[in-house]
Formats: sequence, C-alpha cells, structure tokens
Amino acid sequence: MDYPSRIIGPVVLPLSQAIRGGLDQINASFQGFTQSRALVSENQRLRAQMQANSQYNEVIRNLEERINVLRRMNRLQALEARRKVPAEVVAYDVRQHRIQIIFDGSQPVKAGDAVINGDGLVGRIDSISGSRAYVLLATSPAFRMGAMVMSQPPVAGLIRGSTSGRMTLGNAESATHLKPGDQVTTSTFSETIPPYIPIGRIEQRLSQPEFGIEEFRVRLNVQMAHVREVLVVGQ
Amino acid sequence: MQRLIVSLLALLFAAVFQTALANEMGVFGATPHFFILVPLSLALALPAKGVIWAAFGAAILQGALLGSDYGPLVFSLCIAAYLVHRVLGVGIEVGAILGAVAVVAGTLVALVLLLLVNPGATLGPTTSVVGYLQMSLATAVYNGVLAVPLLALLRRTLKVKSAGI
Repeated sequence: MDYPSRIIGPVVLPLSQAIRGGLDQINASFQGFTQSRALVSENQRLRAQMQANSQYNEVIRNLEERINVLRRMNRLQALEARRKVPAEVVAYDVRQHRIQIIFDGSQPVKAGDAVINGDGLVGRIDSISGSRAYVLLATSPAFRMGAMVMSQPPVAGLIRGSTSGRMTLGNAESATHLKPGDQVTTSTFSETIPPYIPIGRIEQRLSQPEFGIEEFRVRLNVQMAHVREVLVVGQ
Repeated sequence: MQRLIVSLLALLFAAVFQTALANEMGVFGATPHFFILVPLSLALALPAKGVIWAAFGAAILQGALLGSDYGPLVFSLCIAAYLVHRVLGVGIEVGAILGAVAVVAGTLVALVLLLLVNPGATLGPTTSVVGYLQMSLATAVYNGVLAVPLLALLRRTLKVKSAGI
C-alpha cells in the first residue's frame, strides 16, 4: 500500500465505518420494530441450523483427518488446512471493482488469497498493508482465474469478470452438455485459491459450439452491493 | 481561508460518502460518484487555481482509499473540473439548473477521459464501450441531481463571506 493510502485511510475510514454502522443500526432497529415476530422465529431456526452445522463440521474434520492418514499411508503429502481470516469491508468502489477490507493483523493474509462470504467467491486479495487489504472483485475485467463446472462430466475453464454481477467462463473444452443453472466453482488446479468455492451459476451460452469457442455467461452468487463481512481463505 | 476550509470539508465529505454510502445509494444500477461531484461543484465556486487543487485532492483521495492508479484520476478530474470552471467561469452565481447541467457534462467528460487514458482498468474483453458509456451517463445524471443541493449549500456557505467582503 502506498504512502497516501497509509495516511488518508486511517483518517477517513473510521468516519465512513461509523456512518455505515449508524445507518445499519437505524435499519436494524426499524426492521426489529416492524418484523419482530418473523425475526424471533428466524432466530430460532438459525440456532437449530447452527447446532446441526456444528455436528456436520465435526464429521468433516474427522473425514479430513482420515483422508490425511490414508494419504500418508500411500506416501502422499497431507492436505493443508485452509487459513480463514474474518474481515470487514470498509470501502467499496463499484467502478474500479475494488473493496478495502480490515482484518485482525495478527493472522496471516497473502496476496492472491480468495475472499469469500456465505454466498461464495467475492474476489481476490490484491495488496496488503498491515491489517488492511485491497480486494479485486470477481466482477473486475482484470479478474481471471481457473474455474470448473460441477456437471457430469465436470468441465474446467477460465473465468473472468465482465460486467456488474456477471462473469464470463471461457476456454471450456467439451462443454456441449453444460446448461443454464449448472454450478461454477473454483478449480482444483490453483495453488493459492482453494477449490470448490461456489462462484455462480451458468446463465447463458454466449457462443455456438460449431465455431469451436465455448463461452458462458455466469451469474455470480454474491451480490457485491450487500457484502459487509468476508472471510479471507488461503491454502 | 473560508474557501480552503469549505473545500477541505467538501473533500472529506466526498471521501466518507464515497466509501460508506455510494454503493448503498444505487438507483436502477446508477450510483453517484462523489469524488467527481465535489470538485465539479467546487469548480463553480473557486478560482481556477483552487479548482485544480480541489480536483487534484479528490483524485489523490480516490486513489488512496480505493487503490486506483493516481495518474489517470488526476488527469481526468483536473481536466474536467477546469473545463467546467472555464466554460461557465462565472463563479457561485450559476443557477441550480445550469450548475446541475455543468456537473452532468463534467462527470461525463471525466469518465470518458478516464476511459481513454486507462482503458485497461475500465474495460475488459467483454465490457463494451457502449456499456461503460451508459453507466457513465447514469452516474452523470445522478451526480447532476445531487449537485443541486450541494451547490445550494456551497452558495449559501460561501456567499455569506463574499457579502461580508
């Protein structure tokens, strides 16, 4: 991060965070006042889901340990655990397709790490300074990464940002069977981005297979306008 | 001195609103661009030198807060703000409608210049020039609407002082 950013950021960002926090507070208060009954039942439902989820996480941990034991038995390298660092969005520029996040600086975050939220991929860490980082959003024309479509058989390709809320999946070979609605995730070939992070769903085929070029428009799972809290995930 | 303080406060307002609220204020896909709106509004209130400094400050703020390249931002904002100042050049007495039109035109000029000097960051292989121009037009109109109260506020703030002089 450059010198002006280090000076201006700490002056402006606390103010914008306070304003956003205040507006969120007003919005939440109003929502709580008008939809209290629905919120109570939703809260109960979420608590039940959280309990079920904690058991599910335990099962996954056990299975991962078992996979690692089996890999070691076969003299393969054990799978590394993913780093997960929670962060908060403090600035957003829709035109430059970038956000700035702030995270607990004691935890390691690297350039190239994936940034996700509950819906899927948000973007990729571009640069870091202390406990702040710039994230290049998945919608940016400069954003490119390997992706795959979870179909039968799976299809690997290259996905890139195109317009607000959409990406374009290209270089996809043997993709004639892909159809709208198929899930697109991060690929298993990246060294920095963990695999199987949901990106979006195929919305439309952009080209004809007879020309030898297969491209698909992908609608992102994440609505960038509503991203507030994210997780930085690395290998 | 009053102009300097008002300009600094206006730039701080631009920085805070752009980072905190611009995205939340989206209407039909159009979002305001406070880093362009504020220097263009100040272009109707300040002398030429002040206009350039205000535009330069806004560009540095945008680059610093959002990690954009400084050069294209400084170039496009300074040219657009100076053009607005030069074409109207009648100071704070510009009416609300003319002021809003000037901000709309200035925003378009700034965004088109940004496209010309930094196409890599604004256009991709599947983002068309037409799409970018449509988005720029929507932003320009939004900025024009926001310019009306902002210009009224600037007029009120700065005119008190000038009447005193």
